[in-house]
Amino acid sequence: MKFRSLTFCLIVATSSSLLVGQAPPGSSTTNPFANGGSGLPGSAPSQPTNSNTMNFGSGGGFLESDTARAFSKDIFDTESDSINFEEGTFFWKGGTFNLGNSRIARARFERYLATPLVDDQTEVYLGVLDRIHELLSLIGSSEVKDSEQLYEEIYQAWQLLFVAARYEMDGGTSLVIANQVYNVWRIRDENDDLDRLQLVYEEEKGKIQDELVSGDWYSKGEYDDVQALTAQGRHTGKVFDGITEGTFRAEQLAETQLRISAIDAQRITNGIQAKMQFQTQILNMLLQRRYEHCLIACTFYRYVFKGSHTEMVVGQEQLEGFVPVSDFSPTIETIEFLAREAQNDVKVGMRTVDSLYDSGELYAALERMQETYFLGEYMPQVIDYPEEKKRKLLELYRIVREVENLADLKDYGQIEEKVDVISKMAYDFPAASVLSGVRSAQRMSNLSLLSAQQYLATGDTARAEVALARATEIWPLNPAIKTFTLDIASRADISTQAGVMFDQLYDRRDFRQIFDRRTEFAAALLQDPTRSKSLQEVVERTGRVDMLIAAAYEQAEQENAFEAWELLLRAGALDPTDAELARAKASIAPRVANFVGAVDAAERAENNGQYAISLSRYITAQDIYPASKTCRVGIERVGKKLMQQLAAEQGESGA
Amino acid sequence: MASPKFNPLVSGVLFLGVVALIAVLLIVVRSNPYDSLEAFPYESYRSQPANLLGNEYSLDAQIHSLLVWDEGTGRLLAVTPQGSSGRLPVFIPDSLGKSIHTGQRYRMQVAIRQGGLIYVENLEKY
Repeated sequence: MKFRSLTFCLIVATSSSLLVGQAPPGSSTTNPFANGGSGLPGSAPSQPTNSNTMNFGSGGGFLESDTARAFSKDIFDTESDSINFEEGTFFWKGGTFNLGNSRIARARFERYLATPLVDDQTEVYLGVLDRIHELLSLIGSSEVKDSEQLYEEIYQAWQLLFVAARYEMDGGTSLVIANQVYNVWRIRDENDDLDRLQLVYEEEKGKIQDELVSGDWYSKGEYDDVQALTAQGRHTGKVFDGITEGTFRAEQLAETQLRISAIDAQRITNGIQAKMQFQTQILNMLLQRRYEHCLIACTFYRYVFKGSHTEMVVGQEQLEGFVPVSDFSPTIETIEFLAREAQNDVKVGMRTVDSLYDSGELYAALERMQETYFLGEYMPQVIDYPEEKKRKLLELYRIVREVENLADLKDYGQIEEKVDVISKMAYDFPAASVLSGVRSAQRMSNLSLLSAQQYLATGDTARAEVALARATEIWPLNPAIKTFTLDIASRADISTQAGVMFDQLYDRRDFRQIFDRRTEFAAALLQDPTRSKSLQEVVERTGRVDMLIAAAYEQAEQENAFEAWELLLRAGALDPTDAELARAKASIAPRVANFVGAVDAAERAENNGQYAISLSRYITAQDIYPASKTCRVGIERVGKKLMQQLAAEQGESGA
Repeated sequence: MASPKFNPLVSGVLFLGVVALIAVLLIVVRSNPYDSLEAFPYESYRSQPANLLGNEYSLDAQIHSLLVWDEGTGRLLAVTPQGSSGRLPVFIPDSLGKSIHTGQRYRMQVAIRQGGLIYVENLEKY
């Protein structure tokens, strides 16, 4: 079924091209059927209906006939508006690179390219067909054949059809023609028999009519006698009205007439049936692109049928589709014309292929070869094409097919390598366009992957998944995707480990180590909001500690050791266990030993509830460094506590 | 002959002598609360205040600043003991009813109470 539709498409394309015709390059001849058959002079030439079709290669379209274009359109459906690997089309920058969408068609074309040079058998077969054409021609070696010679040679041609049918490449088509011719001859013989039978009936009919006339003459005489006797009163006037011999004779006459009419009808029916069968086979041959056989059959048809029977009674609908002309009445000559035009197209096409091949434009040659092959795969010009050239084109074709398969798999990395190989084989291959498309796809994939990474970094897992899916869809074998997924897996593992590590350090209050590994933890704990918050607090706090330590060192450098210590005390309020702070304190403490001792004693006394002593120590420390904020705040704080204590004691004693 | 039982001159002299004695005794008695107390051991307090708990001392100091005041309870003051550059915190209960200003010099009778508090029991300007 698929093959039938394929064939139909092909013939549609073929016929349209044949009727539309091919203007040679530079010709300004207006095609009367172009532009919807308007036939207006100066009408714009017909354009390919598929605007997406992009003819790669040096052919660029100027060598591509309308036939080929229509063929290409129908066989390799280019109705794709994007990358459509299912249909075997490659969409690059507004153009479609046709790699073939029909598995069967591709297989046949590949088989053709791989077929060795035509053998002797094929040569003989083609010679037989040529001989048949010669025999059927009205023109002999030098002059028009006479009737006797023509009939003799027609019979010889008919016999050669059986010879041709023996060859494999004939596919039995010659036998079909022979059978059709024989069928017509047989029907003609049958009609001769019918003629003879009809003659017998005619004779019988005449006899019966004569008998009836004689009987009528006797009856008339008898009637006249009765009338005379009745007038004389010697007869009642009544006559015999029962069955007579004349009645039987009348019935026999009617039957004979019916038989004669039936013979007429039978003859007509036989003729029509034979004609329809023959025309059907001719049309089939055209549809199957058996142009040689189609022409032979047309010639036989003209010889076996009268000139008034050349109008096609079958396939009118299909034929009218080829010729968009109103009141079109297809005839055998129309089919013959179509077949000859197709043959011409194939011949021109193969010459183009050869020319392109010889000029090194192998890719264009392959394209033209592909088109021409499907238009006339049974034509000698196609069959006889040199084997070594077909081999070379087959090699190119296979690599192009491989590129198509790689495109199906979206293996753009491999495509680049193959394109490089093709470019070396066929310099006219549009490598830049293909590579541009490949890189565009790669870039799109990488951009999507980048989006996925960014979404993941922000914790938007859902969007990250969508972006990753898009990147994978565009270029499944993108190596960056593998790296990315491994990174995600690694990150998940690190996240788990980091969570445990963070908890341990946090519980030990080793904020300094958390701070030192903040970058690692930040990335690993991205998906953990609780730990992330704790991490942020630790980082901010330790950062402030570091800032205070740095300021302390700066103050110490400026011989302001007390202020340095003050800063360290403020840092200690943030994180008293910080190792860096301890080191800083150890570094500065000797220079402010008295102050440190006083403050420390004050703090210890405060912690022990000895507020008076604590207050005394703070005051002592303040005496050492009057600007001490620690002391000022400590004095205020401890003083209030002490006052509250005294008030309480007084209250108790008063009570 | 005049009777030797009453001599007005002698009586007058005796009377004055008694009055003078009483006056001297009164002066002596009035200066004793400070004079009898030991001077506040500033250094000892700063190093080991716990060793001074329960003791009373006389402390001559200048008012440096008011640290905390709680009405009905008293004032915590920073004072500078005489002969020292360092300061000490002292508590003066409101019950003493004194108006104290910074820079004033006071002789204080202080007691070292629980927690090392220098509690002013009495004071007078000097």
